[in-house]
Amino acid sequence: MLDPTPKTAKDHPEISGGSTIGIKYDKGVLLAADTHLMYAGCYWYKDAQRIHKVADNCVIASSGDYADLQMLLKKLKDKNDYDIIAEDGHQHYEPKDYCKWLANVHFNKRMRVDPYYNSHIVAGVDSKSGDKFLGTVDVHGNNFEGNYVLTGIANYFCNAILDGNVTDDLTLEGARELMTKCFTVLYYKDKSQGDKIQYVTIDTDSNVNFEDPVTLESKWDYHFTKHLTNDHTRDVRFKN
Amino acid sequence: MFRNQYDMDCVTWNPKGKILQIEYAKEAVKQGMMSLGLKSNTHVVLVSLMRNPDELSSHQEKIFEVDEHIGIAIAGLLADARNLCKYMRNECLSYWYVHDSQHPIARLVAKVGEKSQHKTCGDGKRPYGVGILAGGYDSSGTHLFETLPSGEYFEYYAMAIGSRSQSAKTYLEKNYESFAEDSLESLIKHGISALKASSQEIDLSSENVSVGIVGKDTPFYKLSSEEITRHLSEGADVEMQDD
Repeated sequence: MLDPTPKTAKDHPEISGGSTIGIKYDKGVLLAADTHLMYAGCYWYKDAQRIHKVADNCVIASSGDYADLQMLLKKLKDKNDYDIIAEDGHQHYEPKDYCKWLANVHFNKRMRVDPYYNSHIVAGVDSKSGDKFLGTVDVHGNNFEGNYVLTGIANYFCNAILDGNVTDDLTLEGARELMTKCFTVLYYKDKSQGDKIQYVTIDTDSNVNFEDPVTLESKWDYHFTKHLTNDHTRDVRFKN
Repeated sequence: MFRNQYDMDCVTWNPKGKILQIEYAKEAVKQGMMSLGLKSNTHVVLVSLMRNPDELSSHQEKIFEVDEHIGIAIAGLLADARNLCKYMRNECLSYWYVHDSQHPIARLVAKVGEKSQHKTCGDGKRPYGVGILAGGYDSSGTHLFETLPSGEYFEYYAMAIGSRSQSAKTYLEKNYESFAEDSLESLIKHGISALKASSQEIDLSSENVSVGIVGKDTPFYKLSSEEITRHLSEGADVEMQDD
């Protein structure tokens, strides 16, 4: 018998993160995400980690609902544990395997009209061949790979910055410059973006390096914002 | 002495610490027609001797492809083997669907072992009566595994199972140290020689010999009857000395 009551699943993410970006450079992959989580338009958590290590050679960065991300990280950890426990002397799951698995999970949930509200970037280095891997999975289960990938609103703002500039001989410094440019644009334009960015690099020797978050430089003391807006609230609005 | 009292079902131990039904199931493997496998660093070769139940019938195929990178050769009850082969194929396909990559061989064999062990736990169930030699190539190199009805599985450089396999095993033991660097042709020759060592009284032909090959950059394939005939005639007759 079919259940006659209407199916009620959430149709929006709750506490969610903004966009994330991944870029391949000559010796590895660079990922970046901000550390702010939003709740209905307000900054909720300012120090959340949105990039996580899944396996020795695989890192995942997510935008969207944070609770769904935490559930998926549990499942990914189980998967990595199984890979280790199997004890046949090798760890067989590569970043590509994790990415395809995530895409299948998302697609399955979407077909049940109860999706995980996340877009992920899966990045890593193949432990056998040393190839860099960079893939993205979105809420519908779409799965793409490329030299650079974007999730969230960065798709609209940052394609113009990155397209054509991510070449095979891009250095880490060059990749960082591109990232800083992208995130500055996003911080100015996107209300759900914060200014503390965490960078993570994985190089072809499978060294994963999580860096401490850095604050972006941004300019807000324009004449307009200082003088032509509500003056009497100026002291309240700007701390200094 | 106690055999007949303790062998009624799979859930009874005998005073010597054995479960006799599992021992009998292993016996069924020993009565089956011989299969053998051997591996180098790049290829795995599976050879099996087939029987025909009747002069007028075809020979029972005993080498199956499980996936592009895994093949199996069996000894024992063919029907049980087909069941397990179907299970292995399904597991490989599921792995492709979810991960878009090849199922690691050791883990596939571990799954078969778990399934086989499950059959030895229940009253009213019987163990599988088939031994499987699973050979394949995955990202960790070549592998050759044997599974037993008890749910055990072991990895080998070379192995022969089935009736009259002792002579083949002796041949393989004498020669296995050179297999690692051997070419594919040489490996097939060793496989055929091991087969001949165990089949002194049988007329070997492409009708009752089957050879399967899998390896690096080599999806699983079986040798054609012309190639089998050529290998059978080229190889010298193997004299087995008693020592």
